[in-house]
Amino acid sequence: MGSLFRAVKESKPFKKADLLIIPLLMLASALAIFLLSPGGGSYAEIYADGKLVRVMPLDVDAEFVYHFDEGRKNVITVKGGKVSVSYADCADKICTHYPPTDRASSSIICLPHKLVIIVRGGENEYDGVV
Amino acid sequence: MRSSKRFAAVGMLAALALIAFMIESLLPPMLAFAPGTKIGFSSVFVSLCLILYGERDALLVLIVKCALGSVFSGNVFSLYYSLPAGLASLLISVLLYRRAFPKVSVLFISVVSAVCHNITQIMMAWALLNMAQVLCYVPVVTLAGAIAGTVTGACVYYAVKALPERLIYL
Repeated sequence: MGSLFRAVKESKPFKKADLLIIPLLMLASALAIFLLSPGGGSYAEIYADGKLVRVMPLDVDAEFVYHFDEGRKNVITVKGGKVSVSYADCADKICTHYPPTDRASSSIICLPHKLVIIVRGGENEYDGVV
Repeated sequence: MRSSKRFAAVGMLAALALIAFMIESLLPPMLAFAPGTKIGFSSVFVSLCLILYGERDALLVLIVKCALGSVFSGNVFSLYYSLPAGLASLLISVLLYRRAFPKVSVLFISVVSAVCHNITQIMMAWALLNMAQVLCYVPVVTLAGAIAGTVTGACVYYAVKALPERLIYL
């Protein structure tokens, strides 16, 4: 099984094509990121397990505690026009690492708790969902 | 495993992959808007195992890293996306090394497999949440994967360059 090892040893670290393809891939994805965020969100929709459980307008500072299970929860905070997850006791706490956001179509996801927060712009059809 | 030396070497790669995984799990995400993404240095050891000892041993290192990593970091749930993602990226690596290498470089294979890893994670999230919204993360995660793959690809390449053949040829 030394053949692949020897082959890699003798290979060049990158090919000329890589200098084109890889930066192109990075640029294309960066562009896609930029195009997919129109900005200007006005309210946040909170989905638990696919169902809309709460709508929080971003202009009102508020807190919403979502209970996933016995003792397992996420605290969703709207402050200063942005929404974030201020506390979570899920397995990975990735949801708490999202920077507070107010960009429309941006989202915050807590996968272990099946929680999805989506920021929307424009008119809000609901005054509040409980 | 043909010899006990090889068994020990693969075991060491598995341990290194696990250590890298644990350390990275303590670090903040790589890009501010790409939460949960890491450089993935543990994949350097999986790739190294693939190049040095072949796909079966690489698969072993991957499984050990995912299984023990999830248990040690207290997040067994992560297996749901980390194992499929690891398997997908290993599969792509194996295919590329077998079929396309050396027409493609180590760097290219690393980038492709890192991007595949991340996209698979998004697919698993989509399967669980059943909301198309998660697909918005594909570009984010592709960019993160391209960067991560570049770094890990460089690590793999220069590690292989530096390793003397008589040391690993067991």
